[in-house]
Amino acid sequence: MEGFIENLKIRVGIENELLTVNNKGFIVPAADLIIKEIIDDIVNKRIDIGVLKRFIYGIQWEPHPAQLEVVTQPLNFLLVEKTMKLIRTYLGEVASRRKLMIYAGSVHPIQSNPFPINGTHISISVVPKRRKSMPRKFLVYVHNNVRRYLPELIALTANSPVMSGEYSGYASTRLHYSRVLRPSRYAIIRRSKATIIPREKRAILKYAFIFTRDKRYEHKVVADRVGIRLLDITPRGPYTNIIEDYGSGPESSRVEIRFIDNPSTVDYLVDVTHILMGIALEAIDLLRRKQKIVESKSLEENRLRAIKDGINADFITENGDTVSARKCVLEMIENIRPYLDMLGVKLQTSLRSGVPEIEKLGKPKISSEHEIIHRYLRQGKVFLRVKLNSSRALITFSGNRDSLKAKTVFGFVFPQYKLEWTSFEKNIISTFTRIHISYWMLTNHGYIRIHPDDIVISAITPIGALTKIFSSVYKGLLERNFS
Amino acid sequence: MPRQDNRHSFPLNWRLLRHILALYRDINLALQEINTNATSNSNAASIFKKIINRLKAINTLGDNVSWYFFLHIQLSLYLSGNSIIRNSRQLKRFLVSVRNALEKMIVSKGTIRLLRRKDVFVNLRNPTVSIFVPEGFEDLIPGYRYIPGTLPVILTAPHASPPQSDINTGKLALVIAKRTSAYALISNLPRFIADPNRVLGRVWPFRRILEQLIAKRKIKLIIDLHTSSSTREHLVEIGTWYGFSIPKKYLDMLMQIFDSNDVTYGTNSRFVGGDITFYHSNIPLVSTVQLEISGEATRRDLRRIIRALVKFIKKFSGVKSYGGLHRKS
Repeated sequence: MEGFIENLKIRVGIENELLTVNNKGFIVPAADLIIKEIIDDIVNKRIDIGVLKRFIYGIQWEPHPAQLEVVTQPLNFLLVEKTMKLIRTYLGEVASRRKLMIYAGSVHPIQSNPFPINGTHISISVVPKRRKSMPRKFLVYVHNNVRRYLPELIALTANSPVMSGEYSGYASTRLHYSRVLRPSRYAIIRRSKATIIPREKRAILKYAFIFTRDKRYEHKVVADRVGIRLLDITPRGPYTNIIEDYGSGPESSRVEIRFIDNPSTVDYLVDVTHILMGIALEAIDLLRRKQKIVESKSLEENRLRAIKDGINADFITENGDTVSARKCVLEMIENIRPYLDMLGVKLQTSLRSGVPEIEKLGKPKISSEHEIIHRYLRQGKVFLRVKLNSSRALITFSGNRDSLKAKTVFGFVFPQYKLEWTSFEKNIISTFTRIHISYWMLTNHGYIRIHPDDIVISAITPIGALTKIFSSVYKGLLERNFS
Repeated sequence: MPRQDNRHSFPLNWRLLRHILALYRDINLALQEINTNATSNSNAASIFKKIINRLKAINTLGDNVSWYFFLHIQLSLYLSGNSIIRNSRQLKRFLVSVRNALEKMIVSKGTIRLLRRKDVFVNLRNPTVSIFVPEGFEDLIPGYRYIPGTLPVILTAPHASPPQSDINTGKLALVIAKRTSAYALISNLPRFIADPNRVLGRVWPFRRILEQLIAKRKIKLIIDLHTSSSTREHLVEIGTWYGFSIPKKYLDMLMQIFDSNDVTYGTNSRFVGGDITFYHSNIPLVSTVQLEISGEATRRDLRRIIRALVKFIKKFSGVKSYGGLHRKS
């Protein structure tokens, strides 16, 4: 392996999606506001744009008004940590000026249902020193090698177990519900006379076919037959059949990895990047040694298992046995360790011993003040008749407090959430640690706080309540005329 | 508990729409029956029986369907329960409210999405996360400034408080209310804490007080004031929720007054109306209109808008007959 690494240039690009939240931890549509602040800083020269643009390609809007995406330039891997810390510190500071915060996780534990969803896209490019771009064969090998470790990588990085205020039952809720992250196929180099533009992409290029120019054939790296960009792993650039990349320059040739749940901290993000680099180098080494990357029969099944159970999943081996995901992850780390050593990189976080971030930092704890009400609300029974166990205040809509004796009340019950979190960077919520749910009842006269010892007499859904009103009219019609 | 995966519930959406259309038909029939003042109630009773059975069938379609109804029908109707209907007038009001809600269910974008997507019920919000409040809710009550009036018109400024406020909307509401004796409701809470113009805002005091005023029959018209942050083609964008929130004659009256005061306007271009426009216009005889004023409006422009709105409110309030229980569209 002597001299192997010296002949390669490795570049890494990161797209990190973030959410704007208020000081209570709830999503607010403030991406516009943050962008305006940044523009103000640039116009008023409060930041050194020269320094920033060396590292950052852009900060952009996403479809959701609370979502921001930070995109780095293609970076030397040694600069990833510095760059991500620089931009996240800056964003945290900008948000604090507007009394806002940034949430760095993938799925908001309350308001993502399942959207908005954040992800981290990591692009890896490995280029031979004498060339300008990542060759086709490199693209194929890196893609297929990352894909080979897909279940292990998902098991190691899945960290979105809570959605809509409860455990979703999936280690990566994001991957389970994502509509766009379709699984890629085993990449191959395909020879073709023309690029066929899929119908839904024809608006982009306005053609049904694009023929090769001077060459008789063109060799395209194909990981998806129709050239769809949004896959969990995608070879990108002009050598691929991705329609959006048709006119891009050869330097944009890379493998983009999208399945990674947002690591909460920069340290974990850097380690995930390093692991992916190790896998990329292993792929190039396999190519050098002319070894094939074999497609696993149970890859899809293991992928689903990793999404469901994360590091606690059991994977199916080639001979049909089961093996723990943890063991597979440790094997993967052992496999790539020589390559990381060549780069002089050491994993800094718990990932080095196969412990995912979610296990280290812990899942958010969910506690409800009134389990029965919680269950009723989940069933859609939001109109409750409750026997109050003690007297309390009725807060009117104008803010007055009237005293209310212990009695039975009817109304619409809604939750009040208290969120607690951990921050490893200033003004950035790394992960939510606790969700506490208490309840309020809305009546026609005001609000009543529901206590844990209050007794629910009956619960009804909105349609049930509507049926009751119609039933009373029906009885009225049978008994007497409405005048 | 693992979340139920409803990805294969496609036919359910169509069944829901079929039920909604049938319900809409039955409620119209019930209204016709009541309007004919028939001596016997047996026909009406049989229609109501059908409606009840239909609702029971809808209730079996799932929790999310129930929640879909909740989003369209007035909260105060549910909260009042049986006590809201004591005579045929109240019954008509109730039926028209439900019919208006059903109309919106049929035409709304949400329904179209419902029908297109296979996994729609995964995406539909559930009660525990659709309407909730943050900790410290009681300290944020009331969170609005209320200006009582005498005319049946209220000016609302739900985004009057910074940051990212709709600039001038609070002042506009105050000035116009002062000049016309209309009611005004101005939010004191930033939209980042509570946005009264969203479904999430329906339980906040701003919306409850508005619904109470409507229930007391004090309000016939809601003018919801907003400012767009970017440049717009027109000075004012009028949002009427695709024509469902205000009768055409009042919209024509507003446009005529805007024309005569040199206020350029567009209708339902992008700002069709938020939740205030959508939700409160279900009540019969209550009209709502959202005005999205261009962020680049000068003082002179604002003066013209004030003049036009003062004229409109006075003219609207001077109209003695509202034409009975008309349909909005």
